[in-house]
Amino acid sequence: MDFRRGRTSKNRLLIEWTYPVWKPPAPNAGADDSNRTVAVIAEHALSIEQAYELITGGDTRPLLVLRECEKCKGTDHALLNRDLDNEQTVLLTHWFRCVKLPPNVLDEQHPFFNLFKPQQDGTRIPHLFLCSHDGSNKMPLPGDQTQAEVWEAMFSVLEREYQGDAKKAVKELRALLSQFDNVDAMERDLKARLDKEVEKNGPESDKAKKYQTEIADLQKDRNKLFAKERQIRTLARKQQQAAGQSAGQKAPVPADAGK
Amino acid sequence: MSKLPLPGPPLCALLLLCGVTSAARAAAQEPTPPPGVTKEDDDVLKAGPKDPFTDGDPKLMAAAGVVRYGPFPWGDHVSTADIDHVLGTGRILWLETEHFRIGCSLRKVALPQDQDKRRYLYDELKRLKKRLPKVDDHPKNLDPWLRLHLFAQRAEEQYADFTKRMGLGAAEFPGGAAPNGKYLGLPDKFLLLLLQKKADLARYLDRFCGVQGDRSYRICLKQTNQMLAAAAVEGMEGMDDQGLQGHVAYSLAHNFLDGYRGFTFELPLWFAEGFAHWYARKVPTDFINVTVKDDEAVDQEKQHQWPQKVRRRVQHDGTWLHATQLFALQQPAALGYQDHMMSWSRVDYLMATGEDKVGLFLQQLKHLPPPPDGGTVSTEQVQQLAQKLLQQLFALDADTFDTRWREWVLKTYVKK
Repeated sequence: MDFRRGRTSKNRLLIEWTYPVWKPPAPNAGADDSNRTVAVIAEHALSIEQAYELITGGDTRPLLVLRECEKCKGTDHALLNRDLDNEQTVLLTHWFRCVKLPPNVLDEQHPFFNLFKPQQDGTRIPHLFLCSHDGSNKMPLPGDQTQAEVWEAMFSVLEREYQGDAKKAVKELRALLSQFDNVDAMERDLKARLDKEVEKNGPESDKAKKYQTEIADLQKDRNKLFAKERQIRTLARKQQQAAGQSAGQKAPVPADAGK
Repeated sequence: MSKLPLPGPPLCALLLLCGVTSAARAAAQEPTPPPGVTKEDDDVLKAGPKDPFTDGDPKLMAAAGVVRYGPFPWGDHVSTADIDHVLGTGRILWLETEHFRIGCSLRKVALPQDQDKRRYLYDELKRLKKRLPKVDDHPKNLDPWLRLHLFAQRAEEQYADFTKRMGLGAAEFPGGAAPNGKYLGLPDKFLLLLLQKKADLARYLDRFCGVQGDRSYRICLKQTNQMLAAAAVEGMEGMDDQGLQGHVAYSLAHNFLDGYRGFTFELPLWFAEGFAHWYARKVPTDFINVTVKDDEAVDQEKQHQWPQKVRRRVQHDGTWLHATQLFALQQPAALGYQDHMMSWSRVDYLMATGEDKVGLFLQQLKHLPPPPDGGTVSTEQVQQLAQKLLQQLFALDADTFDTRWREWVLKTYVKK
């Protein structure tokens, strides 16, 4: 038996990182600068408010901000566990805006320096942190925390920011992944057979037509699962939306909504 | 310029560390890390900015075809130092050759386990050793500097191969602005950026090119009119060193075609894609530069076996693409697996039956004058000329192209 995740599940088990960069403002378009020198704004540490504005890009979901580190070999090890199953962690990230910043964010001139600036002298610089979209309710994590600690932190943010039951939703989503895997495995097998049959007897053979029908049926099954997935996610989203609206905020959108 | 199709599903696993070498060889491979860099640090940081194969010696550099190391001007008036400033100092190795500027943050990898692939690599290393005597032609692994030198060699070899096959001499490119620039008609060198991390590629593209992307991208830089190919290997399943080599060959072939005499219009899609795949398929890898679409039925285990698959398909009606269908392909993103494979095979046929004529085909297409009203060359004009040239140079109209190509496929491609 093959216990590896199929294509659909794999897509759902990717963290949707955003990689914001600061860009110097473009010179005024259309302005006649031919006889003037133009001052270029040098890179500098943005104020904390500007930094949050830039990394959120208008997204009001809670933030998961991670700084890369050469010791982490460029992977997400500060968030994910090298030895344990990370599916729940990844599924939880879909309710966050995930922001990855470069290792040099600790340089004082880096535009996002203030995001990781220690609050007090001598305090350990976190490797990642969770917070509300405006930077409030910051929960730093050192990077070497246990998986249970990551989950505890993530669930507590979700409890605060969403009204839906994230624990229940994640459990249901994981069950869906297994159903996606079944459909993918059957489809993969049928597609291989169809490919072989078409190459052997052409696309009009009875067998080829039979396989095509079976593949179409599987795609319908998958679409039903997609609808179910949206429902699970929308439940959490709807309740959060209501909370957001009552607070006069823009409604958040899960990273993979509608997929 | 369009974004590349993303590569398909996993085809071969990353290869395990293997091979036995002497301590001396290992020492040549792994220079002492710079002060302050620990064993845990990134491979490129550990390798340090100094090339261990030349030590910066001008004579060794010249023999190796290295013009200079970073920092140097990159493209669009941005220098490698500017890029380092954004992505982090010391995380990218920079090297300039006769026709390329290359940035590379690829980490150390093991040699391929497959014997054919390994032999192919050893041949490359042997050629490299002739120019860079410090190179071990049977190394334990490929470290960042060695990978950079290998990709520099591959890029220059492909450039030389392209100019030779297409019959392009240096006299055609005296220098200056496009279409007379020294680099296939462009005014400045081709750019190749090979990154380990998706994050670095995304930041580079966003900050310096103003585009979003984190896997693979080709673009013509507007200000300095340079062709850039950039890719990140993280997350690309099956992307071992030779998978990446195939991908780079594919990207460079596209950039050579587009850059030749200046990038002012798109070549016929079937020809450009087929030609790029033709270069990529020379590399012994199971990695294919195609995203198989959800509605396509392709056996994942055999999807890289293009000659066999084309051979089986041309035997039935409705399983291969007629020339008229091929000529009508226009949207890169809409190309399916079969479109890519069939385009490759058509170019394979043309190259096998008249490589010099393919050169003439390209030259005459790229000499297409702009319309008198000063506008750009239309897709229809390019398509019409391409079909006229197929007739003139190869005596192929759509029907004869189909017939002769099918006959050739059945005669040439292996059954299994």
